[in-house]
Amino acid sequence: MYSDYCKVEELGQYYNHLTFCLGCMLCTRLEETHLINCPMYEYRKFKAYSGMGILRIAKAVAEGLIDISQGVMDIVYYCTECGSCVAQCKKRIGYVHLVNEYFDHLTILEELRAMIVERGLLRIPAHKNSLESLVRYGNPFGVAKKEERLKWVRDLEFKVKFVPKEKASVLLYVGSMYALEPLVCDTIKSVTRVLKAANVDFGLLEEEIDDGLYALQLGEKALFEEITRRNIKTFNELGAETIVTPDPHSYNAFKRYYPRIGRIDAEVLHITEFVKDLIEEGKLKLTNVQEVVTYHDPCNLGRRCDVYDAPRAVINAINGLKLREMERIKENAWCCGAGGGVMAAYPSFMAWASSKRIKEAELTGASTLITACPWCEYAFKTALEATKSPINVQNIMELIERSIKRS
Amino acid sequence: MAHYGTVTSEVTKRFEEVLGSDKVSDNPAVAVTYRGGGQHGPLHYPFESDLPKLVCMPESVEDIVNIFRLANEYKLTVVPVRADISHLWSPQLYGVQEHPDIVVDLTYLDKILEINVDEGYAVIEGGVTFDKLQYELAKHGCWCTTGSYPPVASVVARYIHFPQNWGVYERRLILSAEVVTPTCRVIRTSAAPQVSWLPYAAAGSVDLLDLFLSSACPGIITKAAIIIYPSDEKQEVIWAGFPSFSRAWDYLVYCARRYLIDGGMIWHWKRMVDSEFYAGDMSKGFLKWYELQQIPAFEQPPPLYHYVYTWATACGPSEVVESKRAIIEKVVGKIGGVVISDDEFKETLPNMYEYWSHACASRFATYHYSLKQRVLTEDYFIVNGPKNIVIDFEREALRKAWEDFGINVGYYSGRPQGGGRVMCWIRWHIPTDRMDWEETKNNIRIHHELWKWIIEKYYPLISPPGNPFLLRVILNEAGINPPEWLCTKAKNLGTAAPKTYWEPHSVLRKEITKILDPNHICNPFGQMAHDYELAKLLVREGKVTVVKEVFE
Repeated sequence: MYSDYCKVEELGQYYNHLTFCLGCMLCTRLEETHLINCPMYEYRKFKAYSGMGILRIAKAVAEGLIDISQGVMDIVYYCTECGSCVAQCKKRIGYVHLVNEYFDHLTILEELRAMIVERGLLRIPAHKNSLESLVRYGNPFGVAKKEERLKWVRDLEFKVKFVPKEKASVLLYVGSMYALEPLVCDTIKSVTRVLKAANVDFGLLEEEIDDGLYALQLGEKALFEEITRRNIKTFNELGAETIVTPDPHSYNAFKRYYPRIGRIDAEVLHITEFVKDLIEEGKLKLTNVQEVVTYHDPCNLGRRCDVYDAPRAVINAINGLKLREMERIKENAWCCGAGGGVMAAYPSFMAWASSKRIKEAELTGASTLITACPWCEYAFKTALEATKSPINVQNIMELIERSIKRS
Repeated sequence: MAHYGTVTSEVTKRFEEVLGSDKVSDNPAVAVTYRGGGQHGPLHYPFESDLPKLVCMPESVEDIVNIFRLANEYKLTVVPVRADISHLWSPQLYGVQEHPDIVVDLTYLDKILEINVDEGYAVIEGGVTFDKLQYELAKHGCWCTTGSYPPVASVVARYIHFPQNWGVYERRLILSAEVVTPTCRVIRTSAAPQVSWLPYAAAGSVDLLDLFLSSACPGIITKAAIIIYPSDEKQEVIWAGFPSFSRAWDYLVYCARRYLIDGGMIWHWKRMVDSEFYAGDMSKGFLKWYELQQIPAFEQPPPLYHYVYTWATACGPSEVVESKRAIIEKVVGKIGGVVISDDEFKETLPNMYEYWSHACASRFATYHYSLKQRVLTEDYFIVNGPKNIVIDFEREALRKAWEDFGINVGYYSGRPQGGGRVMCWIRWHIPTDRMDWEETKNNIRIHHELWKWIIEKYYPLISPPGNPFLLRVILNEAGINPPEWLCTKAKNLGTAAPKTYWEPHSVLRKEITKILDPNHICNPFGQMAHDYELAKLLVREGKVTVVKEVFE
């Protein structure tokens, strides 16, 4: 049952937790520089559009002061679920025993979104379509044909294994974004080329479906649970030792959300963690790349899963490459603006957020902005045009591939 | 009772036309975050307010003028806030924001217009927050003295909200300010050289604290020139114990007049008779203040306790602080006192230690303390009435807090209000481990109990102090002739010989609302605050008997 995952079902049962929020608004800012780090608060300025705002709204709903309504929907779907509020609250307020895996600002946000969906109040066409597509086709992008998901494989110059038809020790879980979004699908090709170069015995799922996190983020908890159970069953039946995914959203789902519903027998790694091991084991030979780059921490990989060092280790392993950090990094990183359904519902907000990040990247003097997430990559690439920025946007795996090619 | 309009969709549209649709929200889910004027939310305050109907985000003074223009047109009440602190908030003024129609969020007015290190001032907009300002000032090697918690609150609003600032240094902050009045007039005014609690300090010029706190005078501060200070490299706290009040007093005066210490306090082992005590000119007034207080005899302390304790801070470059400390310790010894170590102090007076070591030790202490360590939940109450009743109240409050709850209570008292009245500000702090929900709940209960006790027994005494002198100057600046009764010859703030102690304040309020807020949009219903209504209710129910005649 979903209650197993969530521990408490009713918003009212969070009430004591909700009263702990002092309304200090520190969740919106960074301790060191006092810069506002909550994208939706910076964008909308009303206090409701913040981690604190979400908790206050939930408290008011629990108290019966306001009802779940269109007004609540307008606010809660603005959140990119970047988790900056959680990180800052943990760091600065110290509600460590309160802000935990079962209760934080995003848990409450997801509860509110779930209540909106339950009551049939979700009126954002893009989200309605995404949820419908997830139910019908197993992806949120409305792609009906299953074979479309593996279309990118045709461009590879080598053959890849498909599980469960063929056996492979490593399952490469691609994720819907890499598989179906043309703007970022080159990255997944780079991933496979890098794995091939390291002689990794990997395979792709013949019939991969979405990780389901998007459904949870949009408030469709039952669908998320269904997808999760289905994926766990598939993974466990394969008998793969390791599941590697290049999509931090999938990684977040497998690492943090799936265990609450069921156990994945295999070890789950993000591609950067996997590649880091390959480099350390000497299985990947990287050569000189004379370039100055800067790295953007994807929220789902960094703040949500604490993977900060592996991507940096991978970048630093390339000789000649200079990594110049931006002002806001790691748990303080500014969000690209694509998460939480914002990419589909509020593209102009996403463009604003990603443009800000691109400008921050420019200040480092780097020629390339590196990221490790398809959603971030998409947001930055679409914003490049608007900002007329001279900076390049590249996935970390494309960078590795470039380094391998030279060798 | 004044008649007020309602916020209809047509009204919302008018505001949107003026400010832009993205700067106005009538969404109830937005409104909940501004409930109670958006005040920073202590758990223990017993009153809740209505949801505002409209939240506006002006970007300029012109926008604020337009907001007031429309608010007057539709007769809608206005409450200005920035982040979590309302410009109008104070314990006396719940009524101001109990029924807010429009909340004006000053988030967009967050520019630091000038930092002048040589002259020692900065010019900021009304919405500039503490964290932003301190961060920018730090780049210039400076800081300002307003309260640090919550750090995302407006510097100006925070200063008005908590002028005494939880015991952190209270130096003069605002030099002058630009205020938009509800009549859409933009006025510029200067500020008093010191906070108004002390009688000798308040009579110099306009006192902004009284403008906003005491008189419920409406308006939104859009710009302020504030004093900034060079940052200290180091700050040390010196605790000492003395066998008599006069010795402790001599010690602080000696040190302050030689600029050895930056601030100091004296308190009795059980009852904290404290006053901020600063270097330079303040020390001259200090003695007078104590004379005025006519401090009653203290109880003798139990064994191992000193009769009075002092707290003093030495600030400056590291080497200087070291030298200062050595001299201060010698002075303590010569005057017959004993320097007390942190450990000893903590053992004998843990409650006081919690408070002073954290709340006063550093200008950033409240911020860090509140966030990262045990939090001091604070509450206070101001009574203003006949001297004998206030003294009774004071004694009983101290006794109750100590005997029933084991907490020390601080108070400021003695400000003569004229007509035999005095003011007493009772303040208490309870160190709370916010990680411990049970302890938090228990401490909230203590706050409630004390509030309840005070409300039931002494409520009719509560009165915000009025300052006609201030009003006179403000009216002059606004180009309005002050009423005759404000032009007092007396130097004692002009409140001599009122018929009842309520009168000056209520007359003041009437005059202010008549001239500057004719539609009562910032002072809803043109009446005393919520508390007063509650007090009347208590009287009617026979729960209050102390000064019942006041209401008859």
